[in-house]
Amino acid sequence: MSSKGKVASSVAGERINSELFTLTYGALVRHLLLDLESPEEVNKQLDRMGQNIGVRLVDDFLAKTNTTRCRNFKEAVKTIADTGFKMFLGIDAKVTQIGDKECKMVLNDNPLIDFVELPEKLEPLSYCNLLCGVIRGALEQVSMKVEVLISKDPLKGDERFELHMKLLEYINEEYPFADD
Amino acid sequence: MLLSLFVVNKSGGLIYHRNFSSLAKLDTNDTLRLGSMWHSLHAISSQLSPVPGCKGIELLEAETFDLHNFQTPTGIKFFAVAECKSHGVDRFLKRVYNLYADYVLKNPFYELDMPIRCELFDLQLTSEVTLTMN
Amino acid sequence: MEKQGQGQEGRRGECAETCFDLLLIEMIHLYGGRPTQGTTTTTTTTTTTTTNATEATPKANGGGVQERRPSGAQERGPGEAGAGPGGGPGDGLESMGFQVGCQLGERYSKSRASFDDTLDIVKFLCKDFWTEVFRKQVDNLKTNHRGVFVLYDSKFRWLRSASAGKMMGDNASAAAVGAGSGGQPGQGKTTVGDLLRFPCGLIRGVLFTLGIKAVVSADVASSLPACSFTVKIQQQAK
Repeated sequence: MSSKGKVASSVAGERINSELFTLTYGALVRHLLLDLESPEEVNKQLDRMGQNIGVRLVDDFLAKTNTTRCRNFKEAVKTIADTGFKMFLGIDAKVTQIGDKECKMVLNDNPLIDFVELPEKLEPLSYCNLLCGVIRGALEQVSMKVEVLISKDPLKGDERFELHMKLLEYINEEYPFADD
Repeated sequence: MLLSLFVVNKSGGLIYHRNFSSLAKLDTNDTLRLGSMWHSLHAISSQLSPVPGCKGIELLEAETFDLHNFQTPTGIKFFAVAECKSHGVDRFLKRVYNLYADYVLKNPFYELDMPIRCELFDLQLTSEVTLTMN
Repeated sequence: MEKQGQGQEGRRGECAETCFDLLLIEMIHLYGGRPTQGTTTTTTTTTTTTTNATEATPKANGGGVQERRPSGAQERGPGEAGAGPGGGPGDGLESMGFQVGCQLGERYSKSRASFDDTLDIVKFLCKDFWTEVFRKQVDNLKTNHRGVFVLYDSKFRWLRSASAGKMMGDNASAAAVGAGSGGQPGQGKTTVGDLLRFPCGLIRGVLFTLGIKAVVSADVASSLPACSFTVKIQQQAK
């Protein structure tokens, strides 16, 4: 695993100080809160933007890590935890309670929430919802339809940041000559 | 020696084509048609496999040329036509995938699945081709 | 979201630049693509008098951070969009840049004792700040000595993956099967001007934090990764 981590940060391309990323994300969330009517709408928007990012990010990941195939949910989830988070956010993630269709992923650290405190009135805001969208968008590109939710959130008093992932279905690769 | 490169999106649409040699003479319509036919042919080949998990044609050897196909897990095909027994074509295709990730997907003007018209990608590709040929 | 001004400076974590690049692209697709004046982005500061108190002290420590950030946010409240003199279309990008600029300006200037004058601050922007964020210095700085500075960057980092070659020509449809899976939320075509709104705001934010009110606009020079930012000082550092 540690070797994978090393590989991850060396092939990831240019590294930047995460401050710029974190603060820019903060500015985006704040702006969406001003623009949209409710925190719930902001959650949706963040999720959508995340999905669009995931769709592009996955090719960046695959091209740089030379990953040829993620055959199943378990494999994909492990790849995300072992390599993906390290490579893109510079953090370690651990998969717990893994099954064929469901798992939890614990992040040891989450740069997105540096500097952030959630006021009480924003309780419904899922500040890091972008991450859920990114993972969903990325896995959809490799034929897996998943649902990702934030199950533990330090911004809401939990100790660790945790994602709950659930496989909904494998999308069959398109075969252009299906009989009908 | 590389003769030409095709990039086909996951729906079978040709999104990029370039000739590296004056030998290759196909007009735009031909390339579009051939690109999407290759997509289908590739799908058939994986269906033909009696063994599950087949990734389809990776190399097609003909009398006068080789066709190397690299399909990403996201379903994009990068394939190159080269002279028989050319070396380094597979590595070249993976490099092109990298260039695609950097100069196409990160180009704010690029819309996904659409034809690639990115100067920077063209430029980088040119130098990659030069590298591969030497 | 209260930002914790103090006690967080220790963290120097790294992430892949890809993350930032793709986030910015999404922000541009969401807030850009609306009509602008050619490739020029112009924004006007709409500072209210209440912010003067905080900006009179260009260098503040700890506590000042707390005060200044909210003031930056007030600058473009929700109701102000499109209303104020600077509320041009799509200025979301500019104001997000402004917010980040204020925060980064604060962070990156911490090690500096003080600034002599406006020129000193602009130099800080062109050297130290630019190096932190864009990994190189501004290539050329010009001024008319009457409050206008032109910053020229021959390879502006945030344009390095942008190819202007207009996409999606008319004959594209033939090959464009299966579009729509990407689901761009964009309302229109992204322009180069859209790409530069965020950095314009960023620059304005840095200067604002250091006590200068300015108007920042950007132009793409002859070819793409090169661009220049014009800073018109409205109120000098005290």
